[in-house]
Amino acid sequence: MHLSMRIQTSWLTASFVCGNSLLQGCGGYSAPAEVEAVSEQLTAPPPPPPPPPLAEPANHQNLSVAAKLLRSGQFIDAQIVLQSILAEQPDCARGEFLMGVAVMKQKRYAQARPILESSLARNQDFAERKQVDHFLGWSCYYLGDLEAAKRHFQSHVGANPTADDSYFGLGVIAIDEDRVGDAEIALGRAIELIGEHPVRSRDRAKALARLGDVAIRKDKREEALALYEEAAQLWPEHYEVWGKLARVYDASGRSADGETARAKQQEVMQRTTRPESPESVP
Amino acid sequence: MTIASIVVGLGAVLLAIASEPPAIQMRDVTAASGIDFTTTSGATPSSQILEVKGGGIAIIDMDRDGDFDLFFPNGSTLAAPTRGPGGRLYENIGGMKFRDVTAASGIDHHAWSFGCAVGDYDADGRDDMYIACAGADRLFRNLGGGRFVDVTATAGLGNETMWGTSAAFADLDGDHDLDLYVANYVECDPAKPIPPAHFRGFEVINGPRGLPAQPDLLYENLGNGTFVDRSESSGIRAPAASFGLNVVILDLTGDGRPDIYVGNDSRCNFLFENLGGMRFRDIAAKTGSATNLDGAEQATMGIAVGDVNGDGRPDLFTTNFSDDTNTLFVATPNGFFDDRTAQYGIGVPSRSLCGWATALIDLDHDADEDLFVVNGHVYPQATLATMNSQYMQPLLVMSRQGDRFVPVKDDSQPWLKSVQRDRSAVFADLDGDGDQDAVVSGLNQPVRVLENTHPPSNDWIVIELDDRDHAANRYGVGARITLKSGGITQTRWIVGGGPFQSNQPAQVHFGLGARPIAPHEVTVRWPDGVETTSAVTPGTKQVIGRGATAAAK
Repeated sequence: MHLSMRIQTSWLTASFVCGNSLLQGCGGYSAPAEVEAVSEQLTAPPPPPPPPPLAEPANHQNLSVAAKLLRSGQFIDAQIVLQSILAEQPDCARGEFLMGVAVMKQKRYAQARPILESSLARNQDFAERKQVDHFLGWSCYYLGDLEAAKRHFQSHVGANPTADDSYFGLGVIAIDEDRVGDAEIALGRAIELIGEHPVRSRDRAKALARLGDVAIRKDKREEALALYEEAAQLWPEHYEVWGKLARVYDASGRSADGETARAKQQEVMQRTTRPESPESVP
Repeated sequence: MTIASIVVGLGAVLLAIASEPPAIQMRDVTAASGIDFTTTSGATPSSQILEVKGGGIAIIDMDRDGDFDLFFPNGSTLAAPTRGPGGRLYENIGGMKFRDVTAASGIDHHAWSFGCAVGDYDADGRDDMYIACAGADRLFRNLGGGRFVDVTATAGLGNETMWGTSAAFADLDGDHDLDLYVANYVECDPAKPIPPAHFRGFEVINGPRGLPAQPDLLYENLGNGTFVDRSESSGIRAPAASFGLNVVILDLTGDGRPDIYVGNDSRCNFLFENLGGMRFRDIAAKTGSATNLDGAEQATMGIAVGDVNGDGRPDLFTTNFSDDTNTLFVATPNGFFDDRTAQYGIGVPSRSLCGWATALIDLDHDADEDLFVVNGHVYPQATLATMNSQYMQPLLVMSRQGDRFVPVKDDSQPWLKSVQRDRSAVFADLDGDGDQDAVVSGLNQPVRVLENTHPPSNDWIVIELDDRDHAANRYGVGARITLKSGGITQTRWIVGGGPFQSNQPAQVHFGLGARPIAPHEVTVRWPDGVETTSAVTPGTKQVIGRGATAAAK
């Protein structure tokens, strides 16, 4: 089980399929009343005024092919197409961006990071330019560089205030840094931005589950239980939330419910992940 | 300059001194230690799972001279799995020096060996050694004078031919002698190489998933020098066999009976609650110690026991695979183990590492436990670019600072930056200066001796137990030891098992902080539940006997 499976970035839904703007203002979640002050760590430091973006070089005809392959989850194929594009147009920031995403989606974060950084440094204008910071944020996060991850997520929400997944990222980082209040604010904001549209149930469930983790941290098991249960109801295929639920039931002495949740976790895992075989090591 | 300004300035200096945490300082003293031993664990690069676990280390005061000696069981090669170079025994001759006494020891053991358990199974006052092997395990009886004899057959052991990884002695049935638990791993025949698996586009070593798991073993000590297999009747085989890699034994449920915590690779860990009468049931899932916060099964290798929140309950720390985090299970008052990995800052620094042996020990004597983890990937193909993790990895040493563990980064200490294929480690005061040293071993690489260079002071206490009333568990395996000193309460346990395929010595160490404040009082809850309290003296190793007679040694 890889931790990287815990948090799947929802870039396809957030950036390509739905677009965040579609779901603005649909949120029903409000941050707890006791959490008022927004920490400086959640807001981007005042950025120096960026130089105006350069015009995008002539768009390689195969970039759309690569983007399509990415959308369909064919990351290795997309990488091959992008390699040939970048061989012809090594200064193509969009090509680098797509390449960085293709590599990152194969969980090769150390390889993805410099590609995405290069894409960003070119300061070219292209359709997904605002998303580069988001993917860089996750790459840095998985590489353990929380400061850089924070910086990129902050930059992303600074440029795109409805970037729910970067608020989610900031919330996850705040959990890792044990900034409980900040985690509540960031995850609350993510939940608010995700809204309640069914197409975003998966992302909302993941954010609720993380908010449940914060409740566990605060020793508020009932609160965690409610959040986990809501998450499981929203997206029953989220096997980890069943695992979390099982733990809370067990900790609350509800062993039978714990067993049921664990069985559900196993059932979902077996159905939604690769079958156990030597190929699924470790 | 006014007096007031001097006072303010002095205050600022004192505040600065007080707020600066004591540094962890160690150094690699292998070259001068006399330990010039390179382990054998198949070939480099590894191609089979048998080659990647490495051999453990036994830390044992074999001659009862008051210092710790070392035994390295050692591995072998796929071409000649039962004819390896053999284990090596080193006698501690003082001053952080050791000498190889293998030849005179009577230990002539060349099978592919992994874990070690140390305990006085025959109640003669001398610690013996059990070696977990690929094939029949071995029991070596300590005859004294640095000599051992293989008593496996006469003790009723060695009939199983599984792949034993770790083992632990403890009194599991309350009859005051030391029983034995052996964690077993997977079916693996060196003569039949397992085809490679695929991971992130690479052909890699196959397993453990997809390979048949082997069940663990539990032996009851009959008190007459022999053991009987209670694996089935005890209930430890009620859960399906798993990929056992490590075991620690201590009272985790607070009922006074020692429980068994088993670290399994890629599967739920076991927590066998001791029901009495050599009966156990797995309560890992219902106590939260089977999986991490996400309910994820992890690849547990190392296990450390400590008390990170100072509540007197034993917390569990486990090391795991890369792209996952190490996990801290904090015991709660209702018997649950909460995953508090993120809260204590432990998760992120371990994500790129593949962790093995570990310990919670106070390396800087600031009255809290620091964290020591040895690392190294199993796949020779691992690079940051391909697997977010290097094949050769540095140690992860984390200093406890306030409520968090913080990685120690110090360019002036090369031992921290050295990248290795580490697997096992033991921790103890090897040179008698009161601080905790370490010995680390890995795959096909020289063993390293790391000396703690904490400045000489009286800011420590080491406690050993001597229960003459119960000679068969004389050194108190299973005891809980609580120190009250200057308003700080710290708790340690003498456990069976240990860091990884190794053992924790039968003594506990406390750091006291820079200015220890009297009185210093130790309360021992002996394995049979009786509690005794003794005054102790900082800067000494003390042997506490039954009846509260603490004598400085």
